[in-house]
Order: sequence, then C-alpha cells, then structure tokens
Amino acid sequence: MDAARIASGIREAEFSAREVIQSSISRIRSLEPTLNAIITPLFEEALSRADRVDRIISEGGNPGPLGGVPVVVKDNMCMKGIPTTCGSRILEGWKPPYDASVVSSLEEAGAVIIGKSNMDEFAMGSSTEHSAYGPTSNPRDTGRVPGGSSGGSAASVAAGYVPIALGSDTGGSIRQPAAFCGVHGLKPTYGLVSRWGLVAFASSLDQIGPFARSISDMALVLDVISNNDPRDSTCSSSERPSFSDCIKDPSVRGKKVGIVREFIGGSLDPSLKGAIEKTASMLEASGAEIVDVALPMSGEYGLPCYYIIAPAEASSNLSRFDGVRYGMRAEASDLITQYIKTRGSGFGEEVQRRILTGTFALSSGYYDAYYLLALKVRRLICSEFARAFERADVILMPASPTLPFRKGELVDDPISMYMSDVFTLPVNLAGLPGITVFTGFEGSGLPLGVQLVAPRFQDSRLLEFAGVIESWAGRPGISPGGDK
Amino acid sequence: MEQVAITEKDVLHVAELARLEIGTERIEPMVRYFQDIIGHFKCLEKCDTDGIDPFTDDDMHPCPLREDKTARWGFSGEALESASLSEGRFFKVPAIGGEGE
Repeated sequence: MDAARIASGIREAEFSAREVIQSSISRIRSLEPTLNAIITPLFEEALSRADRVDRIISEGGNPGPLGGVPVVVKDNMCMKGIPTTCGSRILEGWKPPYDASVVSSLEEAGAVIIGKSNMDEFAMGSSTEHSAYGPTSNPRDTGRVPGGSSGGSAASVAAGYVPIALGSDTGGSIRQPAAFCGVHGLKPTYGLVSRWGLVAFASSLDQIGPFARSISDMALVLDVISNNDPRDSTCSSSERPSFSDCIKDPSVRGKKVGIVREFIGGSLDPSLKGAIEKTASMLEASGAEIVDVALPMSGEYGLPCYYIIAPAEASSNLSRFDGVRYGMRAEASDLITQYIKTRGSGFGEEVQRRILTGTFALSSGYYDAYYLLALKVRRLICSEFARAFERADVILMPASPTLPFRKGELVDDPISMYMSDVFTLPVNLAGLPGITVFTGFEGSGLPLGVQLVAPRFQDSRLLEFAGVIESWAGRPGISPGGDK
Repeated sequence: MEQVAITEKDVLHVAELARLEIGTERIEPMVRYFQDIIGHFKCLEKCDTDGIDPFTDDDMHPCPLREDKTARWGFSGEALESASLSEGRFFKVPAIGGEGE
C-alpha cells in the first residue's frame, strides 16, 4: 500500500495508525536479521506518535498529509535525543540536540519515523558495506548489495518496511541504491531541500531526497520536505510548485528526450542498455521526440573531478570529529594525541582514504594542480549540461553501469567501487535534479532502473516524465513475498 | 592511467595534516591507493580551463540573506550532555602539551 493510500485509509477510519505501525514493526522484526537495514529502531516512539495521530482524527482534527505513514530516515539526519551515528563508530551514542529541518517537516505532516537507516559511513560508499554496524543486504537478492550510501533507506522501501524513506545524495547515493533495490529515488535540485541537520559530507554536493514505490508518493514527500529554510544559506527562497499537482495528468507529448549514445555503449550492462532503449521507445510512442545529446566532459572527467572536490570538502567537514564535542574519545595525555587517536580509531578505512585524499588536494603545493583545476572542470561540466538542455527537456541515461554486484565483490577495490557512480556524480557537480525510475526486472530477477536528469528547479518535469514511465512499467512490488 | 610517485613519507605527512593516525599495516595499502587515485586525477590536465572562473556560476540562485540579528539557539546545555567530559559550561580536554603543562 502506498503512503497516500495509508494516509487516506487512516483518515477515513478504515484502519488505525497504530495498526499500520504495528504491521510495519512486524515486517521489520521478521526481515531485519537478514537485511540489517535499520541501525536504530524507534518502535516505542513510533507507536506513541501513531496514537497521537489516532487521537487527532478521533477529535475531528487533521493529522497532516502523511498522518500515520511510517517512514525511515537515513542515519545522517539529526533527530533530537535519538542516536545519530552516520554509520560510524566515532559518533556511537551521540544524540543531537535538535531535529533536522526535514525531520521537523515530516513530523509536522503527521509522518511516523520508525527507524534510522543503515548507510555507508558518513555517506562515503556505493554499497552500504562500509557501515560500522554491518552491511545491509539487497531485499531483491540478499547475496547482493543494496547500493549506497543510502542502502538502508532503499532496502527499507523495497522490503516493504515503509512506503517512503529519506536518503541523501552527494554523488549518487539515492539514485544508485534506488536502481539496485528496484524502487524510485530522487535527488532534488541542489538548494530545493534544506540541509539543516544533515551531517555534512560535501556541502556543495549533498542533497536530501525521497525513496518511494510510487511517483505520487514521491511528489507527496517532496511537497512536505522542500521548504524554504533560512537556517540553510544554500536553500533557495524561491516559491515551490505543488509537485503533487504537477503529476496529476502527466504527459510528455511534444517534449524532447536527450540520449547520450556514448553512455549506453561500451561496458554498460546489456540489460541496463535494454532498459534505456525500451524506455526511449515508450516515451517516443507517448509523443516525445528522442534527440542525441553529448556529455563528453561529464563522461571522461566527471569522476576525477568529483573525487577531488568531494573528499576536499569532506576533509574540512569531518575535521570537527576530534573527540571533543561528539561521540567517542580515545584516551590520551595531550590534546593533539587525542585528536589523532580518536580519528584513527573512530573512522573506518574508506573515510580515512577520502579525508587523506582531500587533505592532499588542498595542501600547499598541490592546491592549484588538483583542487582549483577540479573546480574549473566542474564549471565546464555545468556548461556542458546547459548546452545539452538547449536541445532536450530531459536527459535519459543509466543510473549505474552494472546490475547490483555481490557482497564483498568490490569492497577491497575502492577505485572500481567509485566507478558505480560514473553516471550519477556529474549531476551533483552541476546541481541538477536526477531521478531513478524503476522499469522492471531482468531475466534472473534483478531490478532495472533508468535515470532522468532535468535543468535546475525543473524537479516537477522529472516527476511528470517519471509518472509516464511508471504508467507503462508498473509500480515495483516488495521483496520478499510481494509481487515482483 | 598515469603512474605517480607517492611515498610512505608523503602519506604520513598528509596524515599528520589531517590529524589522523594510520595503523602500520594500513600504510602500504594507503600508498598504493594514493598512487592509483592521483594517477586518475592527472587526466584533468588535458582540459582547456583558460579563462574559467572556478568560483562563480551564472545559474546559481542568489544566497538568501537573513536579518543581521543575534539569536539564541538555546541548546548549549543539551550539546554538553553528549560530551565525553565536560565541566560547567565547557567541554573538558587534555592540555595541549600534556600533563603538567
């Protein structure tokens, strides 16, 4: 059942919010030993909140558009008084003193947060194998990864724990796990959703966004979380459209869909190439025109550009984790030793690699050759997308070069792991909105998805195209036990 | 991919800058990782970036400003509760020079 249906069913007293949450808890308890998608379950808090929703309804009040709907949020979003670990030992036991803006928005809309989901440590990873709390399994095939870094949130939606979840996306961490788990996942335009209360990885790239099994749910969540927030100086103060209204009667007639031929040749998995081609044919049959666009800079230079800028920003953002104010503190007789031992034992290997890479790129003698150069290449990538959008209204491209890989396959080969995001990270560099849309399953049962990208603040256009694709491909069911 | 000469000394220097202790067993893998990743970065030198300003973006929405008024966040007490060690209104840490400073 999707979120909108749950909310309306609760409002019309077909069932209570408590019954919905109890069902969600039961599903989580039965599957969590296998999936490990949740770091901190919030069952007592969720039941208490559900009872509040039921009380509001019984008194004739309106609990909000998401009244009683269970939701999971990634464990890098602060919740007051609730452990927020970012998948790391260094923050074990830390309880934020405030709620993230998106958490407040969800709760004001009546949503019931039922757990904090597993993630690659500090959002650095593409498989949710770099969590200090163990890896998450893909519900579609538990021998495979769910993708990352928002793997716990993606798996929670695919497994039917919840109809909607929040993740964060810095280089693909919503779109790639959405593709791997066979659900929809949206990275909004940079600046559409407040980052206040999101523990920062790379501040010019991070954006919070939803996972869902229906495009209408995705629009509903985006309406709730995309608010102007003066506490985030990168959050746009522009008026937001009603995303739910934008997708009421989706049409692509007369629109142009850009295809990047270089992206669907070469080493792209044949099933994913087939998904792109079938989606393009369907969009053409629905009245859209397919045009060729070229993104050579993004394809060749996006990855090195991202892996200089993101670690550089991370090395600055993560310098605050030194044992003084948050989480764990190593024993030491002097302050500097406390810093180096806390960080050396509290951060995992991948986080250490990225901090060191970023520190190197920013250091004296290397700043111009690496960081400044990468910033200039980023401007070239932005201009390249702008030229592509002169020819097309949206760009259709893969979300990942491969189907979900097996657990352990890439965890010791970081650079091969980075290649997972080759089609997603240029979108973050340019600040554009991107969505992964589920399109079906391939022969062995692994999910297929495609990525759509639009110009900045054209998130509604993305949702409209996604709605048309969904009407052809159908909605993803849940695994295990649901319709595949 | 271009090979880059990175030594153990380079990695340890960067670790010192980052205030990060690397275990002895992790140093050699880190050197190899650095050689690989920096080799990948070298391709950016082929890009023509003449005249590109790295710090401006014509498309970016303007940074929203707020009124120049002080505000009390009101949760410093709660922030201290999460500290490993605190004393009064302060986080307590070892002396910079160690004991006896």
